[in-house]
Amino acid sequence: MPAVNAGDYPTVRMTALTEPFWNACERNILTVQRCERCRQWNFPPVDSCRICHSGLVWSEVTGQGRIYSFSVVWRAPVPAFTVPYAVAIIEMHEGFTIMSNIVGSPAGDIAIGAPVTVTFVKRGEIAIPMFRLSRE
Amino acid sequence: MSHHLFRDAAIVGVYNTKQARRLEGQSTGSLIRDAILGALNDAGMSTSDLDGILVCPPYMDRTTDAESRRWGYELGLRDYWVGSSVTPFLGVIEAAAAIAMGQCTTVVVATGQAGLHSDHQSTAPWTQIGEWTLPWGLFSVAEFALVARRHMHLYNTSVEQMAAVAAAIRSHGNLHPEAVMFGRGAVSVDDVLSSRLIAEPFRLLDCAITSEGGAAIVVTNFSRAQDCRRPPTYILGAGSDTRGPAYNLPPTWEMCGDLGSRASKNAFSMAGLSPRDVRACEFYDPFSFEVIRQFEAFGFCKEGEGGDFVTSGVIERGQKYPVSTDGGLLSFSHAGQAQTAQRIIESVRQVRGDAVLQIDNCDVALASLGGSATMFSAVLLIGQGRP
Repeated sequence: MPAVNAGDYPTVRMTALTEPFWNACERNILTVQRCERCRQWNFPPVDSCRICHSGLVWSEVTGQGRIYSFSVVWRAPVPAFTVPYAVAIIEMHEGFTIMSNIVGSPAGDIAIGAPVTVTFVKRGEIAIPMFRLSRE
Repeated sequence: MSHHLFRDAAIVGVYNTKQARRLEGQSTGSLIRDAILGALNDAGMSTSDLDGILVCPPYMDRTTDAESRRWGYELGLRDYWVGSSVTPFLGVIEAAAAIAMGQCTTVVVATGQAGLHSDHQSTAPWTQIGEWTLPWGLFSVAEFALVARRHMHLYNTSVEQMAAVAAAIRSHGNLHPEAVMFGRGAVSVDDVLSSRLIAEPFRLLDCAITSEGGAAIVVTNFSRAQDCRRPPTYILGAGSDTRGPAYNLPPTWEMCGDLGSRASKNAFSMAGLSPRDVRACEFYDPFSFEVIRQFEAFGFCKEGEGGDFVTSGVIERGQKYPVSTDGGLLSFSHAGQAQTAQRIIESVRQVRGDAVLQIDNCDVALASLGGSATMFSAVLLIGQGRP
Protein backbone atom coordinates (compact mmCIF):
# COMPACT_ATOMS: atom_id res chain seq x y z
CA MET A 1 0.00 0.00 0.00
CA PRO A 2 1.40 3.45 -0.77
CA ALA A 3 1.74 5.53 2.38
CA VAL A 4 2.85 9.13 2.34
CA ASN A 5 3.92 10.82 5.53
CA ALA A 6 4.89 14.45 5.21
CA GLY A 7 6.61 15.93 8.23
CA ASP A 8 4.80 14.92 11.35
CA TYR A 9 1.37 15.02 9.81
CA PRO A 10 -0.64 11.80 9.99
CA THR A 11 0.08 9.33 7.25
CA VAL A 12 -2.40 9.26 4.41
CA ARG A 13 -3.37 5.60 4.37
CA MET A 14 -4.34 5.18 0.75
CA THR A 15 -5.36 1.86 -0.72
CA ALA A 16 -5.72 0.59 -4.25
CA LEU A 17 -9.36 1.65 -4.00
CA THR A 18 -8.58 5.22 -2.96
CA GLU A 19 -5.37 5.91 -4.89
CA PRO A 20 -7.20 7.54 -7.86
CA PHE A 21 -8.61 10.16 -5.48
CA TRP A 22 -5.16 11.13 -4.19
CA ASN A 23 -3.55 10.98 -7.63
CA ALA A 24 -6.12 13.48 -8.94
CA CYS A 25 -5.52 15.72 -5.91
CA GLU A 26 -1.88 15.90 -6.91
CA ARG A 27 -3.08 17.46 -10.19
CA ASN A 28 -5.36 19.79 -8.18
CA ILE A 29 -8.48 18.01 -9.34
CA LEU A 30 -11.19 16.78 -7.01
CA THR A 31 -12.66 13.52 -8.24
CA VAL A 32 -15.11 11.17 -6.58
CA GLN A 33 -16.79 8.00 -7.67
CA ARG A 34 -19.97 8.06 -9.71
CA CYS A 35 -22.20 5.15 -10.60
CA GLU A 36 -22.01 4.31 -14.28
CA ARG A 37 -25.64 3.20 -14.24
CA CYS A 38 -27.69 5.30 -11.78
CA ARG A 39 -25.32 8.30 -11.82
CA GLN A 40 -25.26 8.50 -8.01
CA TRP A 41 -22.19 10.31 -6.61
CA ASN A 42 -20.30 8.52 -3.89
CA PHE A 43 -17.76 9.49 -1.25
CA PRO A 44 -15.80 8.05 0.63
CA PRO A 45 -14.80 5.41 -1.94
CA VAL A 46 -16.47 1.98 -2.02
CA ASP A 47 -16.24 -0.98 -4.37
CA SER A 48 -19.66 -0.62 -5.97
CA CYS A 49 -22.64 1.73 -6.00
CA ARG A 50 -24.44 1.79 -2.63
CA ILE A 51 -27.78 2.32 -4.43
CA CYS A 52 -27.78 -0.09 -7.38
CA HIS A 53 -24.53 -2.07 -6.79
CA SER A 54 -23.22 -1.31 -10.27
CA GLY A 55 -19.68 -0.25 -11.11
CA LEU A 56 -18.28 3.17 -10.26
CA VAL A 57 -16.09 5.50 -12.28
CA TRP A 58 -13.96 8.39 -11.00
CA SER A 59 -15.41 11.71 -12.16
CA GLU A 60 -14.32 15.30 -11.65
CA VAL A 61 -16.63 17.42 -9.52
CA THR A 62 -17.20 21.19 -9.37
CA GLY A 63 -15.33 21.63 -6.11
CA GLN A 64 -18.17 23.89 -4.96
CA GLY A 65 -20.23 23.32 -1.87
CA ARG A 66 -21.61 24.77 1.35
CA ILE A 67 -20.58 24.34 4.95
CA TYR A 68 -22.92 21.80 6.58
CA SER A 69 -21.27 21.90 10.00
CA PHE A 70 -17.92 23.00 11.38
CA SER A 71 -15.77 23.04 14.48
CA VAL A 72 -12.85 25.25 15.40
CA VAL A 73 -10.27 22.97 16.99
CA TRP A 74 -8.09 24.26 19.85
CA ARG A 75 -6.52 20.95 20.88
CA ALA A 76 -4.86 19.11 18.00
CA PRO A 77 -4.53 15.32 17.91
CA VAL A 78 -0.86 15.67 16.90
CA PRO A 79 1.45 18.70 17.25
CA ALA A 80 1.83 19.13 13.47
CA PHE A 81 -1.48 20.98 13.35
CA THR A 82 -1.32 24.61 14.44
CA VAL A 83 -4.35 25.64 16.48
CA PRO A 84 -6.85 27.03 16.03
CA TYR A 85 -7.89 25.38 12.80
CA ALA A 86 -11.31 24.71 11.37
CA VAL A 87 -12.73 21.32 10.41
CA ALA A 88 -16.00 21.03 8.55
CA ILE A 89 -18.46 18.83 6.77
CA ILE A 90 -19.00 20.24 3.27
CA GLU A 91 -22.20 19.48 1.39
CA MET A 92 -20.98 19.46 -2.20
CA HIS A 93 -22.91 20.82 -5.17
CA GLU A 94 -23.27 17.24 -6.45
CA GLY A 95 -24.99 16.18 -3.21
CA PHE A 96 -22.34 14.13 -1.41
CA THR A 97 -20.60 15.23 1.79
CA ILE A 98 -16.90 15.37 2.62
CA MET A 99 -14.95 16.29 5.75
CA SER A 100 -12.14 18.78 5.34
CA ASN A 101 -10.58 22.01 6.63
CA ILE A 102 -11.70 25.59 6.00
CA VAL A 103 -8.56 27.62 5.32
CA GLY A 104 -7.75 31.25 4.53
CA SER A 105 -10.37 32.92 6.72
CA PRO A 106 -10.60 33.95 10.35
CA ALA A 107 -12.65 31.49 12.40
CA GLY A 108 -15.29 34.15 13.00
CA ASP A 109 -16.20 34.24 9.29
CA ILE A 110 -17.02 30.53 9.13
CA ALA A 111 -20.72 29.76 9.24
CA ILE A 112 -23.09 26.95 8.36
CA GLY A 113 -24.44 27.55 4.86
CA ALA A 114 -21.44 29.57 3.68
CA PRO A 115 -20.35 28.70 0.11
CA VAL A 116 -16.88 27.20 -0.25
CA THR A 117 -14.51 26.19 -3.04
CA VAL A 118 -11.92 23.44 -3.03
CA THR A 119 -8.24 24.31 -2.81
CA PHE A 120 -5.25 21.99 -2.60
CA VAL A 121 -2.59 22.26 0.06
CA LYS A 122 0.72 20.55 -0.64
CA ARG A 123 2.05 18.45 2.19
CA GLY A 124 5.27 16.82 1.04
CA GLU A 125 4.45 14.66 -1.97
CA ILE A 126 0.76 14.70 -1.40
CA ALA A 127 -1.91 17.36 -1.97
CA ILE A 128 -4.73 17.57 0.55
CA PRO A 129 -8.07 18.96 -0.62
CA MET A 130 -9.26 21.78 1.63
CA PHE A 131 -11.84 24.54 1.20
CA ARG A 132 -11.89 28.35 1.11
CA LEU A 133 -14.89 30.58 1.65
CA SER A 134 -16.05 31.68 -1.81
CA ARG A 135 -17.71 34.93 -2.78
CA GLU A 136 -21.37 34.36 -3.66
CA MET B 1 -46.57 -14.21 26.31
CA SER B 2 -43.85 -15.73 24.20
CA HIS B 3 -40.63 -17.09 25.64
CA HIS B 4 -38.16 -14.29 26.41
CA LEU B 5 -34.75 -14.89 24.84
CA PHE B 6 -32.85 -13.91 28.00
CA ARG B 7 -35.15 -15.62 30.49
CA ASP B 8 -32.54 -18.24 31.29
CA ALA B 9 -29.58 -15.88 31.75
CA ALA B 10 -28.74 -13.60 34.66
CA ILE B 11 -25.99 -11.17 35.62
CA VAL B 12 -24.68 -12.24 39.02
CA GLY B 13 -21.31 -10.55 39.49
CA VAL B 14 -19.79 -7.18 38.60
CA TYR B 15 -16.51 -5.56 39.52
CA ASN B 16 -14.42 -2.49 38.77
CA THR B 17 -10.76 -2.47 39.67
CA LYS B 18 -9.36 0.79 40.94
CA GLN B 19 -9.66 3.42 38.22
CA ALA B 20 -7.17 6.27 37.89
CA ARG B 21 -5.48 8.55 35.39
CA ARG B 22 -2.41 6.33 35.86
CA LEU B 23 -2.19 3.06 37.76
CA GLU B 24 1.48 2.73 38.55
CA GLY B 25 2.68 -0.88 38.68
CA GLN B 26 -0.40 -2.22 36.89
CA SER B 27 -0.54 -3.68 33.41
CA THR B 28 -3.46 -4.44 31.13
CA GLY B 29 -3.04 -8.11 32.09
CA SER B 30 -2.99 -7.53 35.85
CA LEU B 31 -6.11 -5.38 35.60
CA ILE B 32 -7.97 -8.01 33.55
CA ARG B 33 -7.03 -10.72 36.07
CA ASP B 34 -8.07 -8.56 39.04
CA ALA B 35 -11.34 -7.66 37.32
CA ILE B 36 -12.17 -11.33 36.61
CA LEU B 37 -11.40 -12.46 40.16
CA GLY B 38 -13.29 -9.49 41.60
CA ALA B 39 -16.43 -10.16 39.58
CA LEU B 40 -16.33 -13.87 40.50
CA ASN B 41 -15.97 -12.93 44.17
CA ASP B 42 -18.92 -10.54 43.87
CA ALA B 43 -20.97 -13.48 42.55
CA GLY B 44 -19.72 -15.82 45.26
CA MET B 45 -18.04 -17.93 42.59
CA SER B 46 -14.54 -19.01 41.66
CA THR B 47 -12.75 -19.82 38.41
CA SER B 48 -13.89 -23.45 38.77
CA ASP B 49 -17.45 -22.23 38.07
CA LEU B 50 -16.45 -20.80 34.71
CA ASP B 51 -17.05 -22.59 31.43
CA GLY B 52 -17.08 -19.53 29.24
CA ILE B 53 -14.93 -16.45 28.84
CA LEU B 54 -14.94 -13.29 26.78
CA VAL B 55 -11.99 -10.93 27.21
CA CYS B 56 -11.86 -7.78 25.10
CA PRO B 57 -8.33 -6.52 24.47
CA PRO B 58 -7.81 -2.76 24.32
CA TYR B 59 -5.45 -3.11 21.38
CA MET B 60 -6.51 -3.12 17.76
CA ASP B 61 -4.01 -5.78 16.73
CA ARG B 62 -5.52 -8.53 18.87
CA THR B 63 -8.94 -10.12 18.73
CA THR B 64 -11.38 -10.97 21.49
CA ASP B 65 -11.37 -14.57 20.33
CA ALA B 66 -7.60 -14.87 20.75
CA GLU B 67 -7.53 -13.04 24.08
CA SER B 68 -10.40 -15.15 25.41
CA ARG B 69 -8.67 -18.38 24.44
CA ARG B 70 -5.49 -17.20 26.15
CA TRP B 71 -7.25 -16.11 29.32
CA GLY B 72 -9.29 -19.30 29.60
CA TYR B 73 -6.04 -21.26 29.42
CA GLU B 74 -4.32 -18.93 31.85
CA LEU B 75 -7.17 -19.27 34.36
CA GLY B 76 -6.95 -23.06 34.18
CA LEU B 77 -10.25 -23.73 32.42
CA ARG B 78 -10.56 -26.91 30.41
CA ASP B 79 -13.58 -26.97 28.12
CA TYR B 80 -14.78 -23.44 27.66
CA TRP B 81 -16.86 -21.33 25.30
CA VAL B 82 -15.22 -18.14 24.04
CA GLY B 83 -16.92 -15.03 22.70
CA SER B 84 -15.82 -12.69 19.97
CA SER B 85 -17.51 -9.33 20.65
CA VAL B 86 -15.16 -6.38 20.36
CA THR B 87 -16.69 -4.62 23.37
CA PRO B 88 -17.67 -6.10 26.75
CA PHE B 89 -21.00 -4.29 26.39
CA LEU B 90 -21.95 -6.44 23.40
CA GLY B 91 -20.05 -9.29 25.03
CA VAL B 92 -22.63 -9.47 27.82
CA ILE B 93 -25.38 -9.89 25.22
CA GLU B 94 -23.33 -12.53 23.40
CA ALA B 95 -22.62 -14.38 26.65
CA ALA B 96 -26.27 -14.31 27.70
CA ALA B 97 -27.28 -15.65 24.29
CA ALA B 98 -24.70 -18.45 24.50
CA ILE B 99 -26.01 -19.41 27.94
CA ALA B 100 -29.61 -19.26 26.73
CA MET B 101 -28.62 -21.57 23.87
CA GLY B 102 -27.09 -24.02 26.32
CA GLN B 103 -23.54 -23.58 25.02
CA CYS B 104 -22.19 -22.93 28.49
CA THR B 105 -23.31 -22.15 32.04
CA THR B 106 -21.20 -19.34 33.43
CA VAL B 107 -19.25 -16.72 31.47
CA VAL B 108 -17.01 -13.91 32.66
CA VAL B 109 -16.81 -10.87 30.38
CA ALA B 110 -13.76 -8.76 31.14
CA THR B 111 -11.48 -6.02 29.92
CA GLY B 112 -8.82 -3.64 31.16
CA GLN B 113 -6.33 -1.05 30.01
CA ALA B 114 -3.12 0.39 31.40
CA GLY B 115 -0.22 2.09 29.73
CA LEU B 116 -1.74 2.34 26.27
CA HIS B 117 -3.98 5.37 26.36
CA SER B 118 -2.64 7.32 29.24
CA ASP B 119 -2.80 10.80 30.54
CA HIS B 120 -3.20 13.79 28.31
CA GLN B 121 -3.57 12.13 24.94
CA SER B 122 -6.28 13.96 23.06
CA THR B 123 -7.85 10.81 21.67
CA ALA B 124 -7.52 7.06 21.98
CA PRO B 125 -5.10 5.44 19.52
CA TRP B 126 -7.78 3.03 18.28
CA THR B 127 -9.91 5.95 17.11
CA GLN B 128 -7.13 7.26 14.87
CA ILE B 129 -7.82 5.06 11.91
CA GLY B 130 -9.45 7.11 9.21
CA GLU B 131 -8.06 7.87 5.79
CA TRP B 132 -10.82 10.48 5.50
CA THR B 133 -10.25 12.14 8.86
CA LEU B 134 -6.60 12.10 9.97
CA PRO B 135 -5.06 14.30 7.23
CA TRP B 136 -7.41 17.16 8.23
CA GLY B 137 -6.72 17.01 11.94
CA LEU B 138 -10.08 15.36 12.53
CA PHE B 139 -10.29 13.17 15.61
CA SER B 140 -13.02 11.84 17.86
CA VAL B 141 -13.72 15.12 19.69
CA ALA B 142 -13.91 17.16 16.49
CA GLU B 143 -16.11 14.59 14.75
CA PHE B 144 -18.61 14.52 17.63
CA ALA B 145 -18.41 18.32 17.74
CA LEU B 146 -19.58 18.46 14.11
CA VAL B 147 -22.74 16.59 15.12
CA ALA B 148 -23.36 18.83 18.14
CA ARG B 149 -22.89 21.98 16.03
CA ARG B 150 -25.43 20.78 13.48
CA HIS B 151 -27.95 20.12 16.26
CA MET B 152 -27.37 23.67 17.55
CA HIS B 153 -28.06 24.97 14.03
CA LEU B 154 -31.18 22.87 13.50
CA TYR B 155 -32.76 23.15 16.94
CA ASN B 156 -31.16 26.12 18.73
CA THR B 157 -29.56 23.80 21.25
CA SER B 158 -27.18 25.86 23.40
CA VAL B 159 -23.76 25.34 24.90
CA GLU B 160 -25.42 26.03 28.28
CA GLN B 161 -27.68 23.01 27.76
CA MET B 162 -24.70 20.81 26.92
CA ALA B 163 -22.82 22.21 29.92
CA ALA B 164 -25.78 21.30 32.14
CA VAL B 165 -25.29 17.64 31.16
CA ALA B 166 -21.56 17.75 31.87
CA ALA B 167 -22.12 19.51 35.20
CA ALA B 168 -24.72 16.97 36.34
CA ILE B 169 -22.64 13.93 35.42
CA ARG B 170 -19.38 15.34 36.76
CA SER B 171 -21.13 16.26 40.00
CA HIS B 172 -22.21 12.61 40.32
CA GLY B 173 -18.60 11.51 39.82
CA ASN B 174 -17.43 13.99 42.42
CA LEU B 175 -19.53 12.10 45.00
CA HIS B 176 -18.50 8.58 43.93
CA PRO B 177 -15.43 7.30 45.82
CA GLU B 178 -14.50 4.89 42.98
CA ALA B 179 -14.58 7.62 40.32
CA VAL B 180 -11.33 8.99 38.92
CA MET B 181 -12.64 12.51 39.54
CA PHE B 182 -13.96 11.76 43.04
CA GLY B 183 -13.67 14.64 45.47
CA ARG B 184 -12.69 17.16 42.81
CA GLY B 185 -15.66 19.36 43.72
CA ALA B 186 -19.17 19.79 42.37
CA VAL B 187 -19.14 21.11 38.80
CA SER B 188 -21.38 24.00 37.74
CA VAL B 189 -22.54 25.08 34.28
CA ASP B 190 -20.20 28.06 34.61
CA ASP B 191 -17.29 25.74 35.40
CA VAL B 192 -17.93 23.87 32.16
CA LEU B 193 -18.33 27.06 30.14
CA SER B 194 -15.11 28.53 31.52
CA SER B 195 -12.99 25.42 30.86
CA ARG B 196 -10.70 25.65 27.85
CA LEU B 197 -11.95 25.00 24.33
CA ILE B 198 -11.09 21.65 22.76
CA ALA B 199 -13.17 21.52 19.56
CA GLU B 200 -16.00 24.02 19.46
CA PRO B 201 -18.63 23.80 20.82
CA PHE B 202 -16.94 21.36 23.21
CA ARG B 203 -14.81 22.53 26.10
CA LEU B 204 -12.60 20.37 28.25
CA LEU B 205 -15.34 19.50 30.74
CA ASP B 206 -17.74 18.46 27.93
CA CYS B 207 -15.33 15.65 27.03
CA ALA B 208 -14.59 12.23 28.51
CA ILE B 209 -11.52 11.86 30.67
CA THR B 210 -8.83 9.30 29.84
CA SER B 211 -7.86 6.79 32.47
CA GLU B 212 -6.75 3.26 33.31
CA GLY B 213 -8.66 0.45 34.93
CA GLY B 214 -10.36 -2.91 34.51
CA ALA B 215 -13.92 -4.17 34.69
CA ALA B 216 -15.68 -7.54 34.56
CA ILE B 217 -19.19 -9.00 34.58
CA VAL B 218 -20.31 -12.58 35.35
CA VAL B 219 -23.30 -14.00 33.49
CA THR B 220 -24.78 -17.39 34.41
CA ASN B 221 -27.92 -19.42 33.86
CA PHE B 222 -31.16 -18.97 35.80
CA SER B 223 -30.84 -21.90 38.14
CA ARG B 224 -27.20 -21.26 39.04
CA ALA B 225 -28.07 -17.59 39.62
CA GLN B 226 -30.39 -18.48 42.48
CA ASP B 227 -27.57 -19.45 44.86
CA CYS B 228 -25.16 -16.62 44.12
CA ARG B 229 -24.07 -14.12 46.71
CA ARG B 230 -25.98 -11.20 45.20
CA PRO B 231 -29.51 -11.01 43.86
CA PRO B 232 -29.53 -11.78 40.13
CA THR B 233 -30.37 -9.09 37.60
CA TYR B 234 -31.75 -9.77 34.18
CA ILE B 235 -31.46 -8.55 30.61
CA LEU B 236 -34.99 -7.34 29.92
CA GLY B 237 -34.20 -6.09 26.44
CA ALA B 238 -31.32 -5.51 24.07
CA GLY B 239 -30.67 -3.81 20.75
CA SER B 240 -27.61 -2.98 18.71
CA ASP B 241 -27.33 -1.12 15.43
CA THR B 242 -24.61 0.13 13.10
CA ARG B 243 -24.77 2.50 10.13
CA GLY B 244 -21.23 2.21 8.81
CA PRO B 245 -17.56 2.17 9.71
CA ALA B 246 -16.51 4.28 12.70
CA TYR B 247 -14.41 7.45 12.47
CA ASN B 248 -14.29 7.67 8.71
CA LEU B 249 -17.65 8.92 7.41
CA PRO B 250 -18.96 12.50 7.51
CA PRO B 251 -21.24 12.40 10.59
CA THR B 252 -24.18 14.31 9.16
CA TRP B 253 -27.36 14.56 11.21
CA GLU B 254 -29.20 12.63 8.47
CA MET B 255 -26.62 9.84 8.77
CA CYS B 256 -26.37 9.47 12.53
CA GLY B 257 -28.64 11.91 14.36
CA ASP B 258 -31.20 9.33 15.42
CA LEU B 259 -28.76 6.43 15.68
CA GLY B 260 -29.93 4.15 18.45
CA SER B 261 -33.61 4.69 17.70
CA ARG B 262 -34.13 1.19 16.34
CA ALA B 263 -31.85 -0.43 18.92
CA SER B 264 -33.79 1.20 21.75
CA LYS B 265 -37.15 0.30 20.17
CA ASN B 266 -36.00 -3.31 19.93
CA ALA B 267 -34.88 -3.28 23.55
CA PHE B 268 -38.06 -1.65 24.87
CA SER B 269 -40.22 -3.93 22.76
CA MET B 270 -38.43 -7.06 24.03
CA ALA B 271 -38.86 -5.79 27.59
CA GLY B 272 -42.46 -4.65 27.18
CA LEU B 273 -41.36 -1.30 28.60
CA SER B 274 -41.11 2.32 27.49
CA PRO B 275 -38.69 5.14 28.35
CA ARG B 276 -40.87 6.31 31.25
CA ASP B 277 -40.19 2.98 33.01
CA VAL B 278 -36.45 3.69 33.17
CA ARG B 279 -35.17 4.76 36.60
CA ALA B 280 -31.44 5.09 35.82
CA CYS B 281 -30.03 6.35 32.50
CA GLU B 282 -26.56 4.86 32.34
CA PHE B 283 -25.88 6.35 28.91
CA TYR B 284 -22.56 6.17 27.12
CA ASP B 285 -21.37 9.75 27.59
CA PRO B 286 -18.16 10.44 25.67
CA PHE B 287 -19.35 14.02 25.19
CA SER B 288 -22.07 16.07 26.87
CA PHE B 289 -24.08 16.46 23.67
CA GLU B 290 -24.35 12.70 23.15
CA VAL B 291 -26.61 12.51 26.22
CA ILE B 292 -28.96 15.07 24.66
CA ARG B 293 -28.92 13.10 21.41
CA GLN B 294 -29.62 9.79 23.13
CA PHE B 295 -32.60 11.15 25.07
CA GLU B 296 -34.05 12.01 21.65
CA ALA B 297 -33.00 8.84 19.82
CA PHE B 298 -34.20 6.54 22.62
CA GLY B 299 -37.61 8.22 22.70
CA PHE B 300 -37.46 10.03 26.06
CA CYS B 301 -38.28 13.23 24.16
CA LYS B 302 -38.79 14.25 20.54
CA GLU B 303 -35.98 15.02 18.12
CA GLY B 304 -34.84 18.60 18.69
CA GLU B 305 -36.20 18.76 22.22
CA GLY B 306 -33.20 17.18 23.94
CA GLY B 307 -31.66 20.49 25.00
CA ASP B 308 -34.82 21.59 26.78
CA PHE B 309 -35.31 18.08 28.17
CA VAL B 310 -31.94 17.94 29.95
CA THR B 311 -32.50 21.37 31.51
CA SER B 312 -36.00 20.55 32.76
CA GLY B 313 -34.80 19.19 36.09
CA VAL B 314 -34.66 15.48 35.25
CA ILE B 315 -31.04 14.33 34.85
CA GLU B 316 -29.56 14.70 38.33
CA ARG B 317 -29.68 12.30 41.28
CA GLY B 318 -33.05 12.49 42.96
CA GLN B 319 -34.72 13.51 39.69
CA LYS B 320 -36.72 11.46 37.22
CA TYR B 321 -34.04 10.34 34.71
CA PRO B 322 -30.67 10.54 36.48
CA VAL B 323 -27.81 10.15 33.99
CA SER B 324 -24.50 8.37 34.57
CA THR B 325 -24.97 7.96 38.31
CA ASP B 326 -21.35 6.82 38.78
CA GLY B 327 -19.95 9.80 36.88
CA GLY B 328 -19.77 8.09 33.50
CA LEU B 329 -17.01 8.55 30.95
CA LEU B 330 -16.88 12.23 31.90
CA SER B 331 -15.61 11.55 35.42
CA PHE B 332 -15.86 7.89 36.56
CA SER B 333 -13.47 6.33 34.05
CA HIS B 334 -12.68 5.93 30.35
CA ALA B 335 -10.16 3.12 30.14
CA GLY B 336 -9.97 1.38 26.78
CA GLN B 337 -13.08 -0.80 26.75
CA ALA B 338 -13.70 -0.80 30.52
CA GLN B 339 -16.12 2.13 30.35
CA THR B 340 -18.44 0.12 28.09
CA ALA B 341 -18.68 -2.59 30.77
CA GLN B 342 -19.08 0.09 33.42
CA ARG B 343 -22.34 1.37 31.95
CA ILE B 344 -23.71 -2.16 32.56
CA ILE B 345 -21.99 -2.52 35.95
CA GLU B 346 -23.56 0.69 37.27
CA SER B 347 -26.95 -0.42 35.88
CA VAL B 348 -26.64 -3.76 37.69
CA ARG B 349 -25.65 -2.13 40.97
CA GLN B 350 -28.53 0.35 40.77
CA VAL B 351 -31.01 -2.44 40.05
CA ARG B 352 -29.60 -4.69 42.80
CA GLY B 353 -29.77 -1.79 45.23
CA ASP B 354 -26.09 -1.71 46.16
CA ALA B 355 -24.91 1.25 44.08
CA VAL B 356 -22.66 3.73 45.84
CA LEU B 357 -25.02 6.57 44.92
CA GLN B 358 -28.20 4.51 45.04
CA ILE B 359 -31.40 5.70 43.35
CA ASP B 360 -34.67 4.96 45.15
CA ASN B 361 -36.85 2.17 43.73
CA CYS B 362 -34.55 1.50 40.78
CA ASP B 363 -36.11 -1.57 39.17
CA VAL B 364 -35.06 -0.79 35.57
CA ALA B 365 -31.85 0.78 34.25
CA LEU B 366 -30.86 1.55 30.67
CA ALA B 367 -27.22 1.11 29.68
CA SER B 368 -26.03 2.30 26.29
CA LEU B 369 -22.94 2.23 24.14
CA GLY B 370 -21.67 4.04 21.09
CA GLY B 371 -22.52 7.39 19.64
CA SER B 372 -23.35 9.43 16.57
CA ALA B 373 -19.89 9.85 15.03
CA THR B 374 -18.92 6.25 15.71
CA MET B 375 -21.91 5.12 13.64
CA PHE B 376 -23.13 2.53 16.12
CA SER B 377 -25.36 2.35 19.16
CA ALA B 378 -26.38 -0.41 21.54
CA VAL B 379 -28.95 -0.47 24.32
CA LEU B 380 -29.48 -2.84 27.23
CA LEU B 381 -32.36 -2.76 29.69
CA ILE B 382 -31.39 -4.30 33.03
CA GLY B 383 -34.05 -5.23 35.58
CA GLN B 384 -34.80 -7.01 38.83
CA GLY B 385 -37.51 -9.37 37.67
CA ARG B 386 -36.98 -12.48 35.56
CA PRO B 387 -38.32 -11.64 32.08
